[in-house]
Amino acid sequence: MSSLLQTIARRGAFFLFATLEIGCIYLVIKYNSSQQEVANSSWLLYSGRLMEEREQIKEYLKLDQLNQQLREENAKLLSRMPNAFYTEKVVIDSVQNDSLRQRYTIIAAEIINKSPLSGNITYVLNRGYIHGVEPHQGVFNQEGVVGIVTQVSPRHARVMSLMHRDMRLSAGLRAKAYFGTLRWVGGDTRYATLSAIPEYAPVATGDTVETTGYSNIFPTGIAIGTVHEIQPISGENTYNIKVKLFNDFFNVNHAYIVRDLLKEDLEQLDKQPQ
Amino acid sequence: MDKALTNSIIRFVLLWALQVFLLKQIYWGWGGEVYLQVQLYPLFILLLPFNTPRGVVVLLGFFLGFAVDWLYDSPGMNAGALVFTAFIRDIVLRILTPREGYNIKDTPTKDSLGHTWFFQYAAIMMLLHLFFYFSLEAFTFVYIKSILLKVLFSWLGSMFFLLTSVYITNPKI
Repeated sequence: MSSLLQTIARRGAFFLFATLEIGCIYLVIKYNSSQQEVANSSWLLYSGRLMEEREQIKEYLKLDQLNQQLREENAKLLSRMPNAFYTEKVVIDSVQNDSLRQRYTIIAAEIINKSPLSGNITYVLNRGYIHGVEPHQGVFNQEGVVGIVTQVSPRHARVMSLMHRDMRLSAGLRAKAYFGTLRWVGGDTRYATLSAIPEYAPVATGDTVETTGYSNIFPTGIAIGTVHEIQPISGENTYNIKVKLFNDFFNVNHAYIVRDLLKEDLEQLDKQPQ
Repeated sequence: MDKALTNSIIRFVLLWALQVFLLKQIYWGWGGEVYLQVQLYPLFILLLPFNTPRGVVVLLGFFLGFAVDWLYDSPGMNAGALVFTAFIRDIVLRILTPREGYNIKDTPTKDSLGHTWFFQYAAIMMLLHLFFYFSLEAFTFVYIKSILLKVLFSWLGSMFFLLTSVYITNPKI
């Protein structure tokens, strides 16, 4: 404070000048009509621009909230998709009981951490077991499959992405009955390999590859990528298909976690001796 | 009473009266715009002694400008311009410092520092003053060409009157 006063005292002439000049300009605007007009119209111009900017900033700040809302809504809608249901269509005599039981529920989550830029990508999501997240649940986003939950804490979950050497995923061709195992063999993170597709399967480049739902991790029909290249394996009667993935795994920000409500039911079946 | 002080008071009153009663009548222009105005009153600021504190110069500029505005019916315009001129007087003087420096008890006149120096000093000060004045008048730089034209004509007119009056009265202090 005292240094401020010192500055004012030392530069008194300047402050006097500034004060008087501001006073004069005030008088000019206040009592001279032509200058007043100029001042008013400039004021309007700049304040209008300022207000516009302010609106834009406000809207931008609201975007986050809006996004959150939209994603929650999306999650709700996704759990109402046909592939999120387990059909309990039982025919008893001629009476049809075609009610649908909820099979998958979707939890919206945000990716809050990513492993460094390399292969074997893992993510951390901001949802944990208090939200219903468990290991071996699938994770996807609007582009397609993202990965599988591996570890869970009360409020966070670790996800092994499709770009991980340990990842195996049951995948098939859309609208065709053939399916195989999708894995990433290393190298380019834009491609994965779908193996064990029989040689006689009518595959064409550009076909969509999607989840099969056999692994009980993802619902049926979540997109993964498109067929990029068909590689026959000599001596075997299966193809390896190079799949161009929809997701850019370095650039994923939001995700949905799939919760299978019939998981225990299926596990019971697995425990029984075959 | 100090000679410089008396002189300054006389100059203040004289220049003010000359400006608002006589020189106000001289103007020339076309198309509804006045391009030539004679402004002699900044001479008062020009001729203040070197040892006048800067704050006092600024304050005197405000008073004289305001007094001129009073009869020009343009509150703030001449005052604003002259406050600016008074403030930059120090800067202009610093730039124009001759090799041997100023005698602090002197007054910046053509006698103490020579014709060329005084002409330079007056020319720069009047140019800055008129530029600020006409900028305030237009209150926007959108019509910068018109501002510059006004500055040019008014500078020629004002310099003519300024040099004439300086050569006639030949102020020493």
